[in-house]
Amino acid sequence: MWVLALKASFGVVFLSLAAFGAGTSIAKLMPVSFCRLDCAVYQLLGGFGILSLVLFLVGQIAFTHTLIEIVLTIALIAGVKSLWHLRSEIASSFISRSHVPTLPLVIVLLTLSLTAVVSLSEITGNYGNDAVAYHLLGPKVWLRNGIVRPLADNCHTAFPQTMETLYGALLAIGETRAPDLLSVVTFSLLLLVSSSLARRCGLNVREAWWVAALVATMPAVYAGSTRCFVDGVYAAFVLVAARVAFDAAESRHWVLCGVFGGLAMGTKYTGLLALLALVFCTVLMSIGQRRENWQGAARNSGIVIAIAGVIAAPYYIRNWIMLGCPIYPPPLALVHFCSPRFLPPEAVAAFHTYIRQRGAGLGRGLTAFLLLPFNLTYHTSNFHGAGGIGLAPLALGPLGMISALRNTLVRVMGILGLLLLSMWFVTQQESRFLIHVYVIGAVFSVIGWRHAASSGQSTSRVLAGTIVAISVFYGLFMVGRGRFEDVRAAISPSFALQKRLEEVPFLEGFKFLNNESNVRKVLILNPYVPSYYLDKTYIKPFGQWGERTLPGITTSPQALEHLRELNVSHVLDVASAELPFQIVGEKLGLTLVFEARNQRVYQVNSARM
Amino acid sequence: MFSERMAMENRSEGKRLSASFLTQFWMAAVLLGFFVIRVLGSRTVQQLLIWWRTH
Repeated sequence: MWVLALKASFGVVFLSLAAFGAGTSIAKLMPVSFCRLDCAVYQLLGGFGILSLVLFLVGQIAFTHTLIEIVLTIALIAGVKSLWHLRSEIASSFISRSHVPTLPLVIVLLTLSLTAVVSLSEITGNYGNDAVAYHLLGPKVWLRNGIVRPLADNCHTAFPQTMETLYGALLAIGETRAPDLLSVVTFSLLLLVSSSLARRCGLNVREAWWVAALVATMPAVYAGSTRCFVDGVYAAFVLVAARVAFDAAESRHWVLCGVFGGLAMGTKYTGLLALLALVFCTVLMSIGQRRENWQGAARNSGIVIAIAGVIAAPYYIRNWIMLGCPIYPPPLALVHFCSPRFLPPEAVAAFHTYIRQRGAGLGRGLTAFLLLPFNLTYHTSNFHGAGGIGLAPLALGPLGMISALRNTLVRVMGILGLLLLSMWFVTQQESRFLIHVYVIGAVFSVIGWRHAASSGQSTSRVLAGTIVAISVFYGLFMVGRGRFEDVRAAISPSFALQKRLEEVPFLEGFKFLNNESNVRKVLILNPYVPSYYLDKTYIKPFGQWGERTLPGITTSPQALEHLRELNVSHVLDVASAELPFQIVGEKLGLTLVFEARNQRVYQVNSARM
Repeated sequence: MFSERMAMENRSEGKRLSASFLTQFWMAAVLLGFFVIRVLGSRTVQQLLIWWRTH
């Protein structure tokens, strides 16, 4: 385990330095009003996005270990040089913040340490776990095939791939535990971005640390930012774009806002909606503060949209060329304008039904919208975010909002939060998709806490303090409880083995296929088999979302008739809760070479080949 | 003059106190909601209550 941990640490440090180097390209675009620490944080965060974009573009031609190492090494040299130049300024930034309050610091360090320990345990689960289903599956297959291509059998691997490309690079240089260990860096960046936003809203360093502590202990935020989930990084991109836009005074600042907006669009499709909300708010702020007239505001918005479009274009154009639709699977609005490859109309319809049902939350009417703050606080499991966001946003957020209404930035942040919340409400109500709004809520909460504490009434002080204490400690408890098994698996090899046996479906079949030297290419008949666990090349005629990867083949018997053309050496057939065995009795040309509970492996007879 | 100023101060003090009361009421209500829904409504507490009733 320690070897894996060392390799992962090496990979993450290497990648982070390379990202810092890639970020030098955007460092000069930052407003001079930003402090040095903020600049370094945004440089690293933006650098991850830029580096990923470069790797993605290179990966369209080749995605080999050597090529990845060359790209990373070039960026690393720039990163080390940049760090060397900034060493004294960053050190002084940290020293000037040496009076950080102990309690929030300990809380933040606790969550980060937990993330680091958890990352040492293997990510397991079935096709319902997004990390296994596509966040890690895509990168693993790209490395094996030496090229970045969406997998026809899993439409989710065509989602924007900023983080997945980085996971691919990490698998190449840091092996299996590195992608999850990257969460320590990216989660830290989200917390630093949160505290930076807090300071911009008028909070002092101590209060900004409490914002970081509140965000770190929101279970919904933690779940969306660790274990290879990309929602935390996405939220950080959106928040930095907002932070830059609110202080933008020159064209280059708007370019930087566009870069971060584009990186958000390159991380999740919802970035498209977030960019619209952001542009609306910046126009509102520019006009409201009389910083610009309508023409100036339109020009700045144009810059943001154009740059964001350029940054995110590779992901969408690649999908359009290869899969027939820039957004894949296509949303309802695009269904009539493009015909997606590998996804028959019934699969697209089923996908939309699934999204509607899963994202329904507690309803979509006006009453449900008005009750959202209450439901998000108390009935979190209805939004796939068990543990929720704590009490502070509901109890102290409105107070903070009202008390700081004179602050223009707070007002615009409130409008941005409301717009993002409304978009989330009408699309997919999944708690972790709302991390950027939770961060804004945490900032308002601490403003409210400060207001309550400064009111001079001891009852207000005690109540506000109790609310923050319950939010933080209940959140810590929920986060810890949710990760308890992963921690145990990280420190106990026997428990890790037991967890693997329980949580990896068809483990024996995968073990057989991975260890047999004569296995070249496997035909997987059951769409619900998580092929992430297979180390060999494979073909899946049918995907879990109804994908059909082989033209003209709609059933398993048809696929078995084409073994020669498919050039497979083995067939994996399993019985799952969704589907029984596809091969019944003896099949001509196939020899059963391995059998375990609910799983069979057949070898394709050489005579047939 | 003096009585007008006194009246104005009393009004603003009254507003401040009512705002403060509203704030405290809101925070207390959220806390109460937490104890009722998340603590008393939790599975562990429910099981304890069932055990208590049946013994």
